[in-house]
Amino acid sequence: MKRLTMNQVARANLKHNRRSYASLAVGILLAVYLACAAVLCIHGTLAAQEEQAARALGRADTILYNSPGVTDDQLRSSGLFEQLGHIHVTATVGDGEVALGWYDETARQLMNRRCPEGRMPEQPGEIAAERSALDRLGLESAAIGDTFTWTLQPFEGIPEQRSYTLVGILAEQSDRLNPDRWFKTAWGTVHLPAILTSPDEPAFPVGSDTVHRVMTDRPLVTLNQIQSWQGGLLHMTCHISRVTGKITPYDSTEYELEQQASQALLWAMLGGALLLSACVGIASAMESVLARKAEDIGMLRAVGATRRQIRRIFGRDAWLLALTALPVGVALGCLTAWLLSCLMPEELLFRPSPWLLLPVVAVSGLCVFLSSALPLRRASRQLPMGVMRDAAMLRRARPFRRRAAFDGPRLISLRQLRFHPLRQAGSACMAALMLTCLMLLCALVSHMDWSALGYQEAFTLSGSEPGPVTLRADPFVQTQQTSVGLTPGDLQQLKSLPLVSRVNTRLRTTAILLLPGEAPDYFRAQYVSLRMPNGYETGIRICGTDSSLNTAYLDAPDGSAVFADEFQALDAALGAAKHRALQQATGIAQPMVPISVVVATLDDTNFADYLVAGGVDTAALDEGREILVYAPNIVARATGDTGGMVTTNQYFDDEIDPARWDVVLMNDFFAVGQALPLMQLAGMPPDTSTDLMDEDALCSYYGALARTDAAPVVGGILKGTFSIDGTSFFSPCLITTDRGAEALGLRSNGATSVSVDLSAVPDADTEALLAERIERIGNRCGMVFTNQLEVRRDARAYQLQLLLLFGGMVLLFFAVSVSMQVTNASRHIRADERMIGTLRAVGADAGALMRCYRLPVLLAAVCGLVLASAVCGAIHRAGLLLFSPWQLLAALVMTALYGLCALAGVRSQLRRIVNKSIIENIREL
Amino acid sequence: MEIMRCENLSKVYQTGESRVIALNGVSLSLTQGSFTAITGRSGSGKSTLLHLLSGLDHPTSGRVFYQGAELYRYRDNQLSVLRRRRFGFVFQSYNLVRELTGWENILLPVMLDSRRADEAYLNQLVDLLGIRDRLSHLPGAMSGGQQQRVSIARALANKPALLFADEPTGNLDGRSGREVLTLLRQVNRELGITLVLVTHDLNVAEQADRIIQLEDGQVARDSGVMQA
Repeated sequence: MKRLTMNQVARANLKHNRRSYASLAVGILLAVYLACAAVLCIHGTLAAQEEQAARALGRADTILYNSPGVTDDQLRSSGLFEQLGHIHVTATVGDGEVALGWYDETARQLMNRRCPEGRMPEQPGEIAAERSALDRLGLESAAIGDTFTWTLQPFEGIPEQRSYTLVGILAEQSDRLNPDRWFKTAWGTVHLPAILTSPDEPAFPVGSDTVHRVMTDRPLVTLNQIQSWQGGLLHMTCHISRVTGKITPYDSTEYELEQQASQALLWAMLGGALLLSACVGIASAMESVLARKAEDIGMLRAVGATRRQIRRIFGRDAWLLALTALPVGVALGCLTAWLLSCLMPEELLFRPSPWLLLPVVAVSGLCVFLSSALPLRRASRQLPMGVMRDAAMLRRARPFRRRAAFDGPRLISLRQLRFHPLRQAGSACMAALMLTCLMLLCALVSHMDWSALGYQEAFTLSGSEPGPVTLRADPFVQTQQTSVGLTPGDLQQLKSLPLVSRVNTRLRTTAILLLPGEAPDYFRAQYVSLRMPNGYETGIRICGTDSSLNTAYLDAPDGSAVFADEFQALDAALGAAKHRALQQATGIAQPMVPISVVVATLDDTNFADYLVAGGVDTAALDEGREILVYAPNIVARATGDTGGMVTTNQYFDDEIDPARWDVVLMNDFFAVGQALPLMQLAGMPPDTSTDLMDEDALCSYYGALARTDAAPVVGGILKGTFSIDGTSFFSPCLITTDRGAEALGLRSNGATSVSVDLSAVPDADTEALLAERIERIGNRCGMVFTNQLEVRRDARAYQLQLLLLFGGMVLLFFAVSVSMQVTNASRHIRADERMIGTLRAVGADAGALMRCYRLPVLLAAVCGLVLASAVCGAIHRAGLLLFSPWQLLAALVMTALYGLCALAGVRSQLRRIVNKSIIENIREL
Repeated sequence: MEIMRCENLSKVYQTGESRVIALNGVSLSLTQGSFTAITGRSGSGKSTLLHLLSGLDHPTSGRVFYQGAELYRYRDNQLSVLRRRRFGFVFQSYNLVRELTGWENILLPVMLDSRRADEAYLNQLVDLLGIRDRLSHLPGAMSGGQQQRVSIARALANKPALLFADEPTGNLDGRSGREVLTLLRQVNRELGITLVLVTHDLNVAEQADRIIQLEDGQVARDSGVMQA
């Protein structure tokens, strides 16, 4: 005899109940389609990012700078790398800023070195150069075919004159590979070639090539493993990100994953929201299919089917439908992703692969499983005997207390809620989701900047700020860089560009402040202790100068200071040694602290709002007689017990409640009219042979530096969220004008930031022209160019995208939650038809009948509102996004709208039953 | 005195092409305080007649008058008010709301009328029906006889003028059936409520003052009004 399988039962079910399964099939098809589209879009977005990174920096993973001590064989046998290529730097041109060299074939492929114009050099005497390198050499009008004669300086060799013909313009890359930012203090300047020759170019008779190596890592190898290989032999390595196309001396994988996640988040959110609604659809359709099968289920239970068997029999239908929907859903998903990739070729690539089928199947399978699990579980719990069910219900029923308060319809709906608590849970959750999205949308709207995009600070150039304080970068010394920087000629050129109304420059330099006999408390470092998630306890240093300038040594000599950990104590001891050497070298016995001096364009900025004391006398500032001080009262507190963060605030009045803060630093030093004895030591950083703990060596180093002394008077003290050229100040510092700095004799490394204001909004052509010109000036000065207009436009577009996304989600969830509520009520109304008939027979009118179904709707709405408020409250308390009362008001209005729509839907469902005669209602079904 | 009258009452059920004439031109009159039994074979239209007299269904043609006013001219809400104040209905399958306890089911018409319950009367009714110990139970935990008694109590809760009972003993064993019948008779006599009862059991019908026998949707025999 032929065996009956569950698949056969499920197939027969589907075949004979096609119409009742139609909505379930649509829900499942939708889930597969959305899962496929979401997976392909997320994958496509990530692929587009990688493609962009590869276009900029190729596909290498690691770059090893000039390490002659390590041979290629050692690298190959380390087991860390797969491919290995070489970059030869043969000489420098001009003032040493531009390097010349060649890539071997592997390096050229790994780094994607290419010529968008012309071709690569193929024989001696030919070169290809980056446009920025030609600019730096003063060859702004150079064109392919031109011939140049340069004096080349080979490393450790004799200068030689050679002539080259330009055959190609290289894509910009060398600046991004420049390791100066990371390794300058230890190795001097190391450059990557911005001008390429042919590999066959004759070598220089004297001198040696600098060779950098680029490698691809074996799978799962990390930069930490590479750097610790053979006792740190490969410490001159950097990580090249395949995601962002950036170079870092540390393993940035985790950071990159975060970046990727944030990029893919929009797709994930959109896909997740749509999938969730598809799940609700599946659950609702499944529930309705099972409701129609209630008698069959009861019968099966009566003939001995277990709950598990019931779940398997009726769950099999959903799985068979999912299997059928898979090819169609995948095809539709691919079509959608392809269409989106055509619309957004830069942001999304269409890269289908059989491997992607795996997450698609997993996600859609999970959706089908999760959304059908609850209805199946409820159906399988149905008892074979109604009496048993009623007995179970009786145990849960509580009689009403006051007979006068008896309201039948209300009691019926309350009892139904008690007996079937899950009936409304889905609707309440969906309403909560909708209201949460609405409140998030409102919060986003209120946090958005709706002002016009503006044309002030339209373009910026930024140079490197003084880097973090390291052993070699002494906080007392204004270290001089060899880079060109922005010249007065460049500034003039910027000002002469069309539409430019003003060019703001800002630079920062370091000076030493001579303190009276006893150092004031304001400059003594205090610590806020912080426990990290791994249990390690550390302290964040808070003091009255820039936190990167070490002042902990002020406490170190007498041993009274309590440091947060041994590293900070060591740091302070080193600071103390430097301080003693400084006192010895300068012959000054007073304590000294390093302090930042900001040199800015202050001419017509309105400072009245920022003054806490004194005034701004521009003439006195220009002459160097006066200086401005930014000296807030600083408070700090560790928030959270573990893994928390330190919150610092600034105040300019005395109304600080010390109980609220762990550290309170009041300005007890700076006052208007006070003379500030300043000193600046400027020069090169100490060479590698200097023993930093040797006070004599330090003393002779300090003694050899150029010294400037000045004693300006405090003209005014500034307050508030003070900012110059868009840069906000948090740490105490001194402020003067560029003329004032010159009069005081303070040296610096040129402007660290330039912003260009326009007189009107430029049209597209003018904007492109301005961007090109300013970028070229930036390239020449080694500064990074940013088109702020473009940044603002992108930010506005992103905001609008977010608004559309959340707005769409609110509408979608609103429609889904109302239809879910109505479907739910309709199912119950159909099931309760007999009860409705009975109530009508004993005289219930339409209003009384409506009361039986009104309470669950209102309850779902209220529960949704409470849940959504709780979620948003948690977000608010965590400080992720701040909500205001009007957002709650918007949620209330939306809840009311939801309630009204759902009640209207329920009323129309009820009318269909009431339109029949009572006898039709009551007739045994 | 006449309390209810119907004229040429017809009901035709039409599903697709099949047409079933359940009731065909029935005219009759009911006297206040009488006990009328409607009998007939299955499908003779006795339940349909009861439904039409009590305002539970709509006739295809014909009219029903309650105290001189035409029943089916009322709006739905007015008919609801009439049903809960003046009519009581006892179903063969009890039709209790299974989410409510016995007591709550009894109170339902009083509550729907937004009135305070006459507790003395209801207690008297509960004692008369012998269901005091079942009042706090849900219908699922009661026997058929007990459910039918609760259903009778619910029908009488608003002191109706007319009580309609559709095969009230149909689902009960002999003893319970007899008890229910005795109760109905008692209600008719002691409270003066006009009782219209549908049954196919001649023993039950014999208890009535008047027996109307239906055949093929028409009155085949009417024993006429006999004063008790």
